[in-house]
Amino acid sequence: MADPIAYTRLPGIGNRFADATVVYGHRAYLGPDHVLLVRRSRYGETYRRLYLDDIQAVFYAETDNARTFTIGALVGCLSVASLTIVFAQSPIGASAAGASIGLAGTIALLVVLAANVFRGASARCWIRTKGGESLVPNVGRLRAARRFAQAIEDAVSMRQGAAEHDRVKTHLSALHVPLAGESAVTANRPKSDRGLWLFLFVEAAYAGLTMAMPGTFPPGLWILITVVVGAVALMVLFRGSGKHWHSPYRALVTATGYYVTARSLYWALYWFMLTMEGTFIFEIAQQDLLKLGGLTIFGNIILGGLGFIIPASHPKRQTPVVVPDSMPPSDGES
Amino acid sequence: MDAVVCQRCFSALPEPDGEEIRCAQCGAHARLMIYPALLRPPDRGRVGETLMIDGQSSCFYHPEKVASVPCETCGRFLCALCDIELGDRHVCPGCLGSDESGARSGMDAQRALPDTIALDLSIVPLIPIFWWAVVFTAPMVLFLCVQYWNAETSLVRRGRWRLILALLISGTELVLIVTFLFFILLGTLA
Repeated sequence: MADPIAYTRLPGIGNRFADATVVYGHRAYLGPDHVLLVRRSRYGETYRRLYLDDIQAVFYAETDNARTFTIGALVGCLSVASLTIVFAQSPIGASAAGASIGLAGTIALLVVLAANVFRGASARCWIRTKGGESLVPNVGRLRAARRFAQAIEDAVSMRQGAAEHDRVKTHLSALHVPLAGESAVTANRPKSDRGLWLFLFVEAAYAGLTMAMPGTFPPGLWILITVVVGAVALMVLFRGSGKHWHSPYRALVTATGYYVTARSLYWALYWFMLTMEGTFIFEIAQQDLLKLGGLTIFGNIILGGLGFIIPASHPKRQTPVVVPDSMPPSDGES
Repeated sequence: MDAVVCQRCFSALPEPDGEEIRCAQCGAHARLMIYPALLRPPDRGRVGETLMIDGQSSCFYHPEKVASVPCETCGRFLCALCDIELGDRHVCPGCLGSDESGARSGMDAQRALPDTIALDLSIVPLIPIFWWAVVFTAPMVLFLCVQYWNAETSLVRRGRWRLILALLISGTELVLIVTFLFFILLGTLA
């Protein structure tokens, strides 16, 4: 039996869902002449080797996944907290069990939120070899990406020599070639985003007005505003989907995320307001419209979270480093 | 077209210089490190040199080609085409295919983790409603421990502590169940 290869673990721990059912743990190790990417399920491991001699580039970039997750967790936390207050303080329908479950949920979400904030900004890291680009799935945070890149740089520099940025700069114009097909790269932030933020703003403004002047704004008007503004936001989004988003799927789930988050916030505030007035939500829920709304809240809380998590976790198909297969030889190189 | 793209706002990043840069649009951090391999021309395949002189050593697989190196496992002469370099070693395709050289050891694309399977099997009967499963799981755990005691499992996970723990748990479970059955039998006879 040959001697086992000695591996050193590289920074970064990543657990990712595959096929929506199985959780795979991702790790990376540094061997004597290669980087070993390990995908581990409970009962097996799959390996991928990237040889240090073949590594052409390492790239990491900050993403918005952590920030999006924070917003989603915050919304969920507010929603569950408002539910807890409803159960704890309602004069006619107080429920100790409901309040306890709500409190436990709020604390759990706060812990998740704090852990996410503590881990810092999210990031993705790629290694480019002759065979193409490989996402390094165990690197999900900027801090880990920095340490990972430093470890790789030391190892690759020992095998290949120092990085040659000055030499590459002379050929930088040759790097500027598009991939096959239409590129999703834009020079500006997607404009469709602004439509959705407007949607959120209108929703929040209407929620505020309803609370400030109860009875002035009827539910019918609220539904109308929701439908019209939501439709406009979706149209703006889909109009730009071909240019600004990687796929209509991503555009759709992002839109859904914004929509249900706005709706969840609205209902959370509404519940809170009713409780402060001394009215329990299920008392009012005798009326059909509010009954429907009350039932919708639970779905909104769940969908609101999913709407943020799915776009954040959906892999971006864009290739970050666009380089040709071969570079023009430098001076003196045959 | 831009060489490097911000992964937060998808705008073009400033020219990379090996250090961490920030996106001018959204302020996100990014870093691109480029190595000499990018500038290296693509490798060209080697072909064996044609045998020109009578009596010169030829390749075992290609008699018309000049031998350049012997296989370090079977000793056959190999031409440049048949010579497979694995680190500092030279092996022939036959030895690599049969793995007689041991050269492929540690090159697997995937491996099972029987030690984890054994550990999980030993834990199953600890769940109260599955206590009876010990009759099946204990022999399986024993088999896995014997079969894979010296086997290579994970490339990166060392140690046999899972197998040892599985043996201990299963052994304890068996002793307990046998003792329990013994006392029941004793009570029935009495």
